[in-house]
Amino acid sequence: MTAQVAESLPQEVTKPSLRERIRMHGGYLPYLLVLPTMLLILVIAIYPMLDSLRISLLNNPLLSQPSFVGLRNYTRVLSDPVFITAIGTTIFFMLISVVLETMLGLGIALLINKTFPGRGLVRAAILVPWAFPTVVSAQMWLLMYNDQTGIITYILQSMHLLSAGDTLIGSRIGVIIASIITDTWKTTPFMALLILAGLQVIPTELYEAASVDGTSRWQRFIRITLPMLKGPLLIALLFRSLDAIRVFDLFYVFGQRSVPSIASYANFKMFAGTAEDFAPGVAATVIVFLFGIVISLVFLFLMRESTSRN
Amino acid sequence: MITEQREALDEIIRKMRSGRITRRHFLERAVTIGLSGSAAVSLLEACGGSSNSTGGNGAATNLVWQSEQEATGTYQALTNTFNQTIGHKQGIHVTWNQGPAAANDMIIKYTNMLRARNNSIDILSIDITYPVQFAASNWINAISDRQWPVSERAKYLPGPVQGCTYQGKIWAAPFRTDIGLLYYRKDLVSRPPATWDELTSVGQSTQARAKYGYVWQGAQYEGLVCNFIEVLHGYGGQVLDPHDPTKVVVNTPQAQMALAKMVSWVGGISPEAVTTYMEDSSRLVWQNGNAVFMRNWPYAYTLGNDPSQSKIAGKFAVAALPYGGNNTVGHSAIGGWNLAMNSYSPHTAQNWEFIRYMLQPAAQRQTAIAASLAVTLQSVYDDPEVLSKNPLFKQLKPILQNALPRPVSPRYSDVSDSIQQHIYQALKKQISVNDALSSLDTDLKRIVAP
Repeated sequence: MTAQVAESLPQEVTKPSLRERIRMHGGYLPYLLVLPTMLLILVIAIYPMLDSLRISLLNNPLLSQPSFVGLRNYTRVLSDPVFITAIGTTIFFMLISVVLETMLGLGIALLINKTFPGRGLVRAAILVPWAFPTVVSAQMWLLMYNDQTGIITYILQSMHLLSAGDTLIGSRIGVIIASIITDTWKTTPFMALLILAGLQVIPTELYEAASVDGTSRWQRFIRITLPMLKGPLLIALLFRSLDAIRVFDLFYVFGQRSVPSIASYANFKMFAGTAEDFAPGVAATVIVFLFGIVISLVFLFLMRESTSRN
Repeated sequence: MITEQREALDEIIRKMRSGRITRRHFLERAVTIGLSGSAAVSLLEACGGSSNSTGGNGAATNLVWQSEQEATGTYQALTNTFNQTIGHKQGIHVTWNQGPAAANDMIIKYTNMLRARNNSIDILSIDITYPVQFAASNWINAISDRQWPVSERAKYLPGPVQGCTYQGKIWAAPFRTDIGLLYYRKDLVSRPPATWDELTSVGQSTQARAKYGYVWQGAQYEGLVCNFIEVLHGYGGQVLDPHDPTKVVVNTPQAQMALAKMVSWVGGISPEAVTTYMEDSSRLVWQNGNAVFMRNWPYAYTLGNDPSQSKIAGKFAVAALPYGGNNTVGHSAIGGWNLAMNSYSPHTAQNWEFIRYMLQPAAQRQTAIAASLAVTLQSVYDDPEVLSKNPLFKQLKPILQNALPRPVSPRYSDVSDSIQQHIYQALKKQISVNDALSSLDTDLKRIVAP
């Protein structure tokens, strides 16, 4: 009944109701066909997630009879000043590194989108930093940040940005800066690649028509390239932000115990503490997960906005 | 050794005994599982030809010993000797399992294994800070007074024994030990400093001739706890009351002097970056000839004397750590490895049989000579053959006898974490020495409360 009424209203035509969408037009076959996939997702994604949630509500999951303690583990980590600082560190790192990577990635993508001799080689070469496992590149950069032999320490000391005998990774802000530098070095190519893919689907006719109309390069960039890039850019930003909020390797190597990110804090709790610390560590990972959900929702909203406006 | 390996190993042993597979097949499978060639051969000998055969020792029980990393092959040799002698008589065969390079990987492996109540390893080599924690989780069996009488224990170094003791019971047998040493440059200073004050002033006056006066381990990690308690014990302070581990005694004038001394080093006789140093980072500064003094473990001795990587080979010596305040003797922190028995292993008596063999003078001597490890049996340090092979051991004995363990607590991981945090903040001058100690005191009281 309601569905019929809804159908008769013109403004509702574009948005079928949930009930309409699950109407059994094709019998059970479609559902049967997606069932294996759904089961697989249930087993490998939903179940572990729910199980982590369950563990985070127990006192000590390693006991044979663990007891339910409600949100105690959450209040415990959230009242730990080290964890609060870790949240600040991680969010600061995420904002700065994602902005830097997007700007540099956009610039590089625009450059390698042009035709020039050796373009294929440059496109391949630019991906090299991204191909390294993060923990390996972190160790390489650690050598460069080393207080005695590190090239970056040497440069910073000769510019008098660091006092003699000090190192960048000796302070909290220094560790964050070091992580941002390394992360930007490593993942800018990834951003560039995603943006390049977006650039390549923009029809050249648009630019041709615009240049016939006598537009400047800047106008074409602002009026054509950026609006057309919005979709791919949002996806790239979503990927990077989700990656950055759960940053682990860089802080594990540079910050160690003194400057943890949320994820490395959780790791130290779960695997380097006593048995009592395991459940609070799981609670910390659930918090990382919640951050991820919030970020995804924000981007989902932005993407809906952009598609509905188009 | 993971569960699957252990199951596969037990299976081929069973098949071999019942004569269902050939010797060659057995060796192939054992090597596929990951046993070394010699371990596979020795296991085969233990199995005998078949269940009816009287060859081999027809070993009734197969034990797995997981050790820390040991590169010289001494542990394999010790295991082989055991299998051929005591094991042969009593029907026990021990398979030795090499440890990973990073000690931290091993603790993760152990905790995962023991959380699952798994017995794929029967005898565990564990670091000195873990016996009491494992005991609190009921993961390891205590060694009874009947198995290892008190009179017998007195023959071993007191510090490591104390580190394995909790609530009057001993939870692991100290097999070898490690201690903090003061390294000094013979060419720059004529004699090692006796007190921390002397170290500071000598470091100050000579550091222009090297680059830094003193390098040590100031990063926020386990090594910082060792460095801190060494200075603290040197001043006569303690973290927890040694007779009552639930009593916190860290906020004292001795601790204030000790911590204030350490804070004064950062940016003074030590580089600012000392708060990022671990063992190897400080050793590299030292080996490049850039420091007058260094605190490190004995492993740096051999490496520092290797001219291919050290600029100061032959130019340095070691000494006991200094003391301060009213105290008259310095105390090194103890590291080292201990043999514990998995409480989920069904072979309780056999596990002890192997551990007892490892504690005997023969095994201890062999380890000291062949692997140059500082073992726990005191008489080894007077053995002429050991001393001619390792002249350093002569110097180590008094230092070892004065060495003290880190605070012994079933919640040691949290105790350590808290010490690291507060001491590190003080070293970075984010908080004052008094604030660091009083908040450490508050934190520790919450952690160790019964």
